[in-house]
Amino acid sequence: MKGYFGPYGGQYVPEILMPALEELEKAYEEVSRDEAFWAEYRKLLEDYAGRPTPLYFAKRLSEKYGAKIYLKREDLLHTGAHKINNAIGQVLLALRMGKRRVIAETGAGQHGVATATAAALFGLECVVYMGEEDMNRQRPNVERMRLLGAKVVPVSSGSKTLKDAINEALRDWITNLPTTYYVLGSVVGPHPYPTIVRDFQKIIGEETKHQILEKEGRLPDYVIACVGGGSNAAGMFYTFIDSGVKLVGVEAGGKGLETGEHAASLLRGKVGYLHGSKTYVLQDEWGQVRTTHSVSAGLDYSGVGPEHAYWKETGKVFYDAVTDEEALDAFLELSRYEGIIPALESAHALAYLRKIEDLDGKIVVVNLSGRGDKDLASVLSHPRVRERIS
Amino acid sequence: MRKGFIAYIPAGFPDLETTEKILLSLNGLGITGVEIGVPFSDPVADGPVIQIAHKVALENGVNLDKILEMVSNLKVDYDLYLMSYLNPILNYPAGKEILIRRLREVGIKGLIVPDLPLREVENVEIDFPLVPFVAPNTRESDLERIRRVSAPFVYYISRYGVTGEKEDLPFVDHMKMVKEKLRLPLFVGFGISKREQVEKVWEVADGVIVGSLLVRIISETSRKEVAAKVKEKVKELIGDHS
Repeated sequence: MKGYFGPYGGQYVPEILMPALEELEKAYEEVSRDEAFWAEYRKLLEDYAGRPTPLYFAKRLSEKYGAKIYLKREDLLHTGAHKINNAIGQVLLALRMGKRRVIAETGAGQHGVATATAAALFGLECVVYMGEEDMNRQRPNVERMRLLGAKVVPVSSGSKTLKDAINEALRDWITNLPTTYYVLGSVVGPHPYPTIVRDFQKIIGEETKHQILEKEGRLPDYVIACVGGGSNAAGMFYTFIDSGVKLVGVEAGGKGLETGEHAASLLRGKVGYLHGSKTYVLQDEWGQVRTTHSVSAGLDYSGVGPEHAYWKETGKVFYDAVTDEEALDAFLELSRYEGIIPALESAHALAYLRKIEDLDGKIVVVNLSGRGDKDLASVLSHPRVRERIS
Repeated sequence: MRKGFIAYIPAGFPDLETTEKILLSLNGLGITGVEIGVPFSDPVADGPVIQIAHKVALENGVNLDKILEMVSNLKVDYDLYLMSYLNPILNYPAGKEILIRRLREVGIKGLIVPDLPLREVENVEIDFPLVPFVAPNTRESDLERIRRVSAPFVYYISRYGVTGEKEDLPFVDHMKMVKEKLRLPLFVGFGISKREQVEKVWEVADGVIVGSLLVRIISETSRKEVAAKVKEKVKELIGDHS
């Protein structure tokens, strides 16, 4: 069915948004067939954002784990994360549609920074909605967005995190439809967003496939990525679906799945309806969306992209979770073994290395979706890290 | 001229007993109905005033069972509708079939689901009268789908935006077109807060829906006086000077 991945996805939004989604779908169908659009997208990603990103062989980490570990270095992109791939793509789409005002939600701030950056590049007005709690824990990104000329609007409703920022961005969009393009940052929301965002991110997996074939002459055994809404994972996995590679999506286990304080929607959620999509949602027995917990703001989300729900159900991707502490350990480990400070989100994918039992001699690719500068304040104030820094 | 009037009253704001008193106070005015609002954690179609009502009701532990229990004992002389976002309906603990049976038992006349657009109605299979939303930008091809939902009336969203009080009333021509095409009672909501607006809407449609204004009054008034205040405001809006 159009707009669905198996039974998941759809367009569960107020009626007033439907024509806007239709307009977006039509515009996207047009550019899908337009070589000039994709040429401009690729050129900007190369010259401006810094693609292709390296597939780096992590030698000391590999020695430690007895495997061949490669890192896909999305952290080296302009603005420090994979989010720029999608922001540039969607801002180009907004320009095609004649919109001069873009809005975005942001959790960790990386998508907000990427959107503010792309908006500055094309001289567009930019408003970013961000939960108050996220503003506190990702201060540097708030300052970067403001410096780039974006207006950052604090969201104080609900849990004051990503889910509430999406609500507020949707409310803005409903109110300002004719002038405004909503740059959604993950593979969530109503159709066609999950497809659009995945398409603008799938370059990650396409490059990785090409690079690993060049370096190893074969596909990897494992490809690992973290999953909040799921955009870096969708972009990485899409090319490898049904290729025989074991794909692992790592959710935020927070303080442990048994504590209830986590953000593992696929592992502990129930099928429901959130932000326009039928997908797995962390909710209580009455269908109220639960607040989530993760040390990583970018994974702190009660829902998940509908295509991931479909990949889970069909077994095309295996999903697991690691805790805050496991992610913090991996954060320190990569810093000290490879001289790379990863984003806390990406540290969840790295932490999964310890959970693979048959790692010996295997080729593993971990998607290093972003760099960790933004996380220094929250990491350094965490007792688990503080005690280990001299 | 006197036409239709539907009030939106959020259940459990400030508490369920007060909600019941408000609903009872609206007897005897000749209004068409009340939409009882079921609280939801993520009310994406609602503005700040109604968001707070959702939040307070949830903090009070209000849920569908408690609301239906209250409704089952309620004697009112107008129709009752339930307004709820989709997830609490489809994830009702005992299953949606049981919920629908309960809705029939307690006399609910229709469901209003703000995040269920016409194009998805057939994908959720709710065997109960649904009140469809029509917006100023709804395509004529989608209007055809309304014939399949056994609608008691049509909820016309009179502006771009979320719920809230506003001054003007745009899109009169589109309203007339919709009414002519559908031949169903047309009720206009979103932003209506003045007697003059009510009169203007009554010229082209069958009735008005008033929400945020009443919710604001509920939030600003003490529990003791709130039922009388809401009643007074409804009388003012419908031009009842008795």
